[in-house]
Amino acid sequence: MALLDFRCRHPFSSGFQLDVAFESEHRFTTLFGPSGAGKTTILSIIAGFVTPREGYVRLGDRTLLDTDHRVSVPVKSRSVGVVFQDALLFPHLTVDANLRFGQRRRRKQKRVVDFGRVVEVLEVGGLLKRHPRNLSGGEKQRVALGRALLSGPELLLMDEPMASLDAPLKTRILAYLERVVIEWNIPTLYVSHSQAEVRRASDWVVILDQGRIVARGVPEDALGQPAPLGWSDSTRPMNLVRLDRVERTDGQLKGWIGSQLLSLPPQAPSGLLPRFAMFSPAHVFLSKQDLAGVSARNHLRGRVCRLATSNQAIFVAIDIGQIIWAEVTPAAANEMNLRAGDEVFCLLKAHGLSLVD
Amino acid sequence: MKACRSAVSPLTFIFMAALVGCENGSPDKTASADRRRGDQDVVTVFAAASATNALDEVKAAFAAKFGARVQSSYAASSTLAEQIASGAEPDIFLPAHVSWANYVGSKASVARRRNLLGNRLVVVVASDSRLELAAPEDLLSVDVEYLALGDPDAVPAGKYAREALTALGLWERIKSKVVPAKDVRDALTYVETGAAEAAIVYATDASISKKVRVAIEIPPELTEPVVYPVLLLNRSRENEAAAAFYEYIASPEAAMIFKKFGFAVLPEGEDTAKRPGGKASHSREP
Amino acid sequence: MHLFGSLLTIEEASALRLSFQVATCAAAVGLPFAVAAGYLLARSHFRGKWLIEVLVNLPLVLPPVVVGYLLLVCFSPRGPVGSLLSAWFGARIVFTWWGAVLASVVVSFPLMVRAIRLTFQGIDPRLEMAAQSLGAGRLRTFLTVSLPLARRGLIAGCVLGFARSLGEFGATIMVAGNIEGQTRTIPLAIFTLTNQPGGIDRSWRLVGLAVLLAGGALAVSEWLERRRSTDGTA
Repeated sequence: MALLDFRCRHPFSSGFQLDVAFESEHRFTTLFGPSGAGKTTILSIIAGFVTPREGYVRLGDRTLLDTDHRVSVPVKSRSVGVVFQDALLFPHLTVDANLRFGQRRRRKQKRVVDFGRVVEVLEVGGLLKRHPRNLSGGEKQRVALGRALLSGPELLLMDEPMASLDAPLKTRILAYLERVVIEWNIPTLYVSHSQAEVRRASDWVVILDQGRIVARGVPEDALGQPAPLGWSDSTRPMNLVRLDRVERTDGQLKGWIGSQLLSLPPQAPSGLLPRFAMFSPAHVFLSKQDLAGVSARNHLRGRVCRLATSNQAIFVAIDIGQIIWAEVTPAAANEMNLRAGDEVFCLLKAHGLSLVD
Repeated sequence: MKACRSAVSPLTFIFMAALVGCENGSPDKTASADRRRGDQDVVTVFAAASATNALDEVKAAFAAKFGARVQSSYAASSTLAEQIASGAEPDIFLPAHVSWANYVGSKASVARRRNLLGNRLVVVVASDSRLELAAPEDLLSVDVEYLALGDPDAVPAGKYAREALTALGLWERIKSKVVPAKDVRDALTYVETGAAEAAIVYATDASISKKVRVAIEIPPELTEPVVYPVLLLNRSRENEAAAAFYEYIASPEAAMIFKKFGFAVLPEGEDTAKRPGGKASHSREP
Repeated sequence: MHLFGSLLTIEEASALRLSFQVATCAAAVGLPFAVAAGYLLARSHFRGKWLIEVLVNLPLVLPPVVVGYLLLVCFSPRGPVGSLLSAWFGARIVFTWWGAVLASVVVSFPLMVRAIRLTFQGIDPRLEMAAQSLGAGRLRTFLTVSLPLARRGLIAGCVLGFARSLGEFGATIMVAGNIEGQTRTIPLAIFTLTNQPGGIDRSWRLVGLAVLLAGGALAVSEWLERRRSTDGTA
């Protein structure tokens, strides 16, 4: 039986209709899509903040909402933890009091979440006596995450919690989130408009656009659908490859994807070795043969999996050990006569890569 | 400031009423100019509230007979007197107590003056009250929890009531149950709504309200006579209509109207304030 | 009052004491109702809401004497509420200083609700949703989140109610009467003096007292407004 079963039909204020139905058995599910697609509304419905015109929400063996039978469990009893975009910590309470806020009422907690452990994992021990107004954005989000955890929820909802943080911070918080998920194994529904986040953290993704589901599945598959490939705003396609091994020699960073070597850009000496490399499909050069005498340091060999057309561009999915996308013009694709199964070389400039911890 | 609004509202009221009362123009020159321009037909009267109904009828009769308009302002005698002292300029002033006539006399120029009306004090109860009151002493009964009077420190009717009760030797024992109302109307309202079991008001007031009935008549000899003097103020020397109204108000025709409402009409010539060796009590300050 | 014994007459001291007593009580009594009404109007949306708004604001637009008259009709021993009070508790409100408190509460209620409602509206409602998602029911959310965050505004509302009560005249004199030592607050004492020839001159001291008290209360309210700290409390 699926862990989360969700259906709803609800008019938007902007005139759209939110009309979705999905199930998920996965630990970490992401709702992905451009702004206004309805992702936050779905979270609000699951949390109980909004009651849709028609809707059905089942979590495990509990029905939280069933408009047909006039069932709607009040917010406080849903056992759903929420992490908001702007943390929403209680300004009049210390960090310690904020964290403990959800603990008292959880007499019949199905999960017992230990306070000390949460403080340790999220590294908020030094903040306990402070007030939210004296915390940085990242610190607030960590506390918000801890607070939601300590209420012992059966499902964690996270509404673009990284949105108000800058890039380096985003990845750091994501790392905390990953730790949390591993430690307590709480099913999580995560809203994002960043492909990189999805690729990195998600087991499964539901892709929405204008109130409707346009794709669903494991990130690699779902994100390779035409719709998400065609987006050009912050949800635009992004490659995120996992570095199996990273070495630093003489100040130079090198990474490996399987057996293929990747020259990485110089990195500020923060001491942390990157785990992922991020680059846009538009920065991938394709060549039928390996080229010499070019400035691009990285020549990755792979096999074409498939081609997808979207928005006057052709996206080519290439298996280099992991799947990456390259964006080429239709003319180029024609000229090169690219077909599934062809061997190609992907040329990447080292400086075109972003490193992610 | 809202907090001070009510605190100074009597003053504000006086100020505004003064403006209203002087609607013919507060500077004397403008008023006289108006008069000279032929607007001779308006008479301004300041009168005690208890004379309202009766005076309205007298006004109407006067207007019908002489064709002149009478504008009246009814309020507590104290309020009207202060307005005049502050510069309001009515033609006629009809207070409910001689002390206010004296006060005005000391602050403004009075052309003529005489005692006009008398009144009687009565004890009223709610019309459906089951109280058996036969004499003023019955007011001491425990069934009468509150006795409403016009404020004895301020309202003429209250002063007379206190006088009467003192004369009967009841005041000291009864004053703990006295509720001073800001005017006689309020005293009546208290009895009508049951807040007070009884009130002492003028007979003329009692006759206006259907929800109260007279239980006891206070013997008039217990107090100084209740006198309503009428004054013609000096500024109105040029106003013939004002003088005519002053005469009319004392005429037999007007007397009939006043008596109909329960007032007593005092015989002509009784200007006790001017009578040497007259009852000194009339010039007594409250 | 011994401190003021040499500065004020007995009547003035009595008026001052009564004014202070009545105003403080009125603010205290009115506060829970104003909080309930303010919160309801700030957060709820229901069909009859406009009617509640009208009723709450009515004492603000009616002349105080009319308010006084309505209260008198309701609370005097023959009236609907007064008869119940005297039947169940043997209590009497009219012509006692509780009557003055009642008049003040009713008259200052719209002001208090206005201030408190604005305060609650200024609190992010998502904080309350966050509290509920953490398992707090509506009551607990109100007590532990909404109320503490509204603290400053509640105090400001109280001060406003206090100041308005200090100046209350029309309704008070109707419902409580003008009984020396029992209900003769400063405004009523001033009124009494102005009704005596030459009394206005003697009333200036009381006017000064009233201005000081009310002005002081409003200054406190202003100061509280300005002191909006960054801790998010409204």
